[in-house]
This record gives sequence, C-alpha cells and structure tokens, in this order.
Amino acid sequence: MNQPRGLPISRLRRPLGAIRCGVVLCALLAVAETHAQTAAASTAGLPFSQLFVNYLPLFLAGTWMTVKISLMAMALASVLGLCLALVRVYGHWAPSRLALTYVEFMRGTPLLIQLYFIYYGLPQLGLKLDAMTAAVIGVGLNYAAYEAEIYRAGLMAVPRQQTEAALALGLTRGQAVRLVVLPQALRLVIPPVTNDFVALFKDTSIVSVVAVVELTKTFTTAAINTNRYMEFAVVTALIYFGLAYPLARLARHLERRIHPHHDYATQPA
Amino acid sequence: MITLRNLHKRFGQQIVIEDVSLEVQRGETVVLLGPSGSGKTTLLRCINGLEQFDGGEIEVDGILVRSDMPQRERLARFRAIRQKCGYVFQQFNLFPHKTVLQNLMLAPRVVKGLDEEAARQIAGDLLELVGLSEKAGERPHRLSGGEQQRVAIARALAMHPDYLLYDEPTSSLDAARAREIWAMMRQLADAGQTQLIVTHQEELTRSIPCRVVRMSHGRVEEEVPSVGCEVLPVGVSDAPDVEASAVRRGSRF
Repeated sequence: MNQPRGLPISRLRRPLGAIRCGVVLCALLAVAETHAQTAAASTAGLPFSQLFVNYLPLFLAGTWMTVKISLMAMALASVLGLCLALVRVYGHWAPSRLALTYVEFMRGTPLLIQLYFIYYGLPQLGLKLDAMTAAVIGVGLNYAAYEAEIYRAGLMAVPRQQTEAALALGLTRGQAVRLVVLPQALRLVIPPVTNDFVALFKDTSIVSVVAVVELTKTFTTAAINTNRYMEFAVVTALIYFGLAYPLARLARHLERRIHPHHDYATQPA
Repeated sequence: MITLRNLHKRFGQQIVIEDVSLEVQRGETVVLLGPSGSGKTTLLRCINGLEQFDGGEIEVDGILVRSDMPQRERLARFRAIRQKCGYVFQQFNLFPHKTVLQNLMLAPRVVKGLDEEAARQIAGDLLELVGLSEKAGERPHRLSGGEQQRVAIARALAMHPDYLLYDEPTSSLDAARAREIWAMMRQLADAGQTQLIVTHQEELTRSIPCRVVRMSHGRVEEEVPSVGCEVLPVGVSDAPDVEASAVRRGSRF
C-alpha cells in the first residue's frame, strides 16, 4: 500500500464506517417502511417516498429557520460572551462579580426553563416577544455564558508579559488589551467557539417548544400527521448531522492549524 | 536624567529593595550587576511602573513619581515615563500575532499617532540598523533568540526613547548571540544612547564602556566609578552592522 504520512488505520476506517452507517440507515428505513405500511395503513397509505416529497418544502423551510436562529443566537452569544469575559477579567470588583453571577446562573438553569420564562413568562410583565425573537434571545443569552468562559480562558492564556511589553511601549491598558491581548486570545478560542456553535445548532431543537416552526417542530408535525416517526426522525437527524458534521470537522481543522505552533500559550515566563 | 531616591519595595514580608538611590546621567551606560534575587530586575521594573514601590521616589527628566501619590496620578506619570524609556525584556516578548515589521510599527502608530507610512519608514530603518531587513515579513517565532532580541531592541528604539532599560537582555542567549547583542549595545552607547542594563553577566561589563553598580540583597553595594573601560574585542564578524551615524538619527540618541 502506498500510504503517505499520517495514520493509515484512520484512513481505512473512515470509508468503511461511512458505508456501514449507510447500510444500517437503509435497513432501518426499510423495516420502518414495511411496519408503517401494515400498522398505519388507515392513516396514510402512501409510500414514504411520496410523503417525503410532500413534506420536503416544509422541511426545507424548517431547516432554514433552524439555521437562521442558530446564526443569530450565536452572534448574540459571541458578542455578549466577549463583553462578559472582558468585564470578568479586566473589570472592577463589582461588575466582575455581576458577570460571574450571570454566567453561573445561566449555566446552572435549564435552557428549556429560560425559554419558557422569556416566551410565556415575560408577557405577564407586558413584554410580548414573537416566537423567533424569544428563541434567539433565549438561546443567545444562554450560550453567552458558555462563550464568556471560553473567552475568559483565552484571555488568561495570553502571557502576562505580552501586556507588559505593550505597556512598556507606552500603550494604555485599553490599547494593550485591544491590540495585543485580544487578537491572540481570539485566535486561541476559535476552535472551542466553533465547537460550541455545533452544540448550539443542535440545541436550537429545544426552541420548538415556544412555537417556532424550525426543523424539530417540522418533524413533530410531519410525524404526528402521518404516524411515520421512524422515517421522519431519521430524515431530520440526517439534516442536523449534514449541517453539524462539516462544522465539527472545520473546528477540528482549525484546531490542528492553530495549535501546531502555539508559541502563544507556552512562552516561558 | 533618571534619579531614584530612597526606593523601598517589599513583596509581603520580604524586603526586595531597601533604600536604593541611583542616578543615571544622559549619555552614560550604567550596568546594574548582581546575583539573582538581589532585586535588580524589580528595581528596573519599578522605574517604568511595571512594579509598584512602597517608599521613596523616582524622577525621570523632571517627571516625579512618589509611592504615596494617588494611583491615577501615578499611572499617568508612568505613562509619560514609559514614552521616554524603552524597555528590553529577557524573554524578548515580541508580539507573536504580528510580523517583525508590525512589531516595530505598533507603538509609533498607536502611541505617537504617526501615519502608516511614517511608522513603516522608522521600522524599516531600524530593521536595517539591526541587520534584519530581510525578516521584516516574518513572524517572530521563525527567528532565532538572538534575532528576536535584536528586533526587541529595534522595537524599543522605534519610539526614540531617551533611555533604554534592559532586563537581563542576553541571559537566555548563547555566548555568541550574547556578544552580538553586546556589540549592538556598545555601538548604541558610542552613539550617545543612555542605557541602564540589569544583568548578572560580568562579561557584559567588559564589552561595553559603562559605570558598574553592584546590587546585593536589595541594596546598592558599591558604585564603581566610570571607567574608560578595557573593552573586549567582541565577535563583530557576524554582528549586525550598527553604524553610529545611523543611530544618531533624530539627534535623540
């Protein structure tokens, strides 16, 4: 075999794994098909392929909604998370404690409850948000807490000597953070933040409870109407996977690109 | 002129600097010599405010900082002092996310507010001075230790500082690279650059005409009066070509 460098085993395993996955999925679909045909003949006599075509536009719309919510929530989480991290690391005592409290509280309570609070609870105080806004704010505020911790770790990983070098050149503390520490910290956190984005993307599945018609909501609708839970679950999972997997691969790629020569974090003290 | 008067500094219970007074005149090179733990690095860090001190005062060209000043006032004055004092670290501390040229351009752009072109001009000239023009576009981690320290010195010079403070500038370099740096410092001294050098390397004092101040246990032990200096021949062959005339640009040095 003419393997160049790298790990020959993983190269062999990958295509085999993909084939195995495909076979299993087809088998599942086939089993489900026959079962559904006998069991649910009264509700829907159509073959699944026909149902799938019928529901395809809805699924595309749902997927688009999921992508939209994910992107907007991630934008919110990134910006707010960075602000929280900066306040925690460089802020005075009181704001820093406040940011810490926010982080701990958001991480310590379920996203589902936070969503209920925002969508169904806030209207009692006279603040009515439409479903999508509530979803974006809910997921965004929740993930901001996690992003804040990642950014904080990134800021702390930049050696103190970098700040000293900037200060010694006459830069203000603000300039030192903005021009010297932050660019290095952001580089360090790109892989974990991308990873978190994958998690967020899947977690948007929860917002189906606040009347947002995204991918998971589309799935439940389709499944209930046709009683084809198995098939539609597989289709839905595949859509999530098809979008999440490239992102996860990207995160890994970035990690490998950024960390081979990460002389940033390992500079001698 | 840099003047320290009765400087005191503690880390907790431990006294690091005890009643140190010191003067550095314009144009002279002073070497602060002492074993590790003698407080010499801390003393240097106090001068440009990287470390706080507990008693006494520091004065740089009329800018006075006392330990009992309010924090805000102290910070403002140290910022003024930092613009007069270039600082060279033992570990170089170049900015890894910027190229060599950008490392030199940052402070002139941000602190002095020079435009891109002017900053690039200064940076380019200094890289030529330290013999690293061809490395302008490289990231610092691609350079050897000796090259990194030359860039670090050039970065400090880019602000046209009246004083250059060195903290163990050659302690993490091998002997040959160290001699290159000393040759540079010697030529800066010849060009009239005021330098305050903290080191434990005795050999350095024989490579650069200087006044030696010995420190031990946080105290100045002995001031060796300025000597004409029996300067060793340094390994100039592969040393950067530092022309005194080039250093004198801007008449600051």
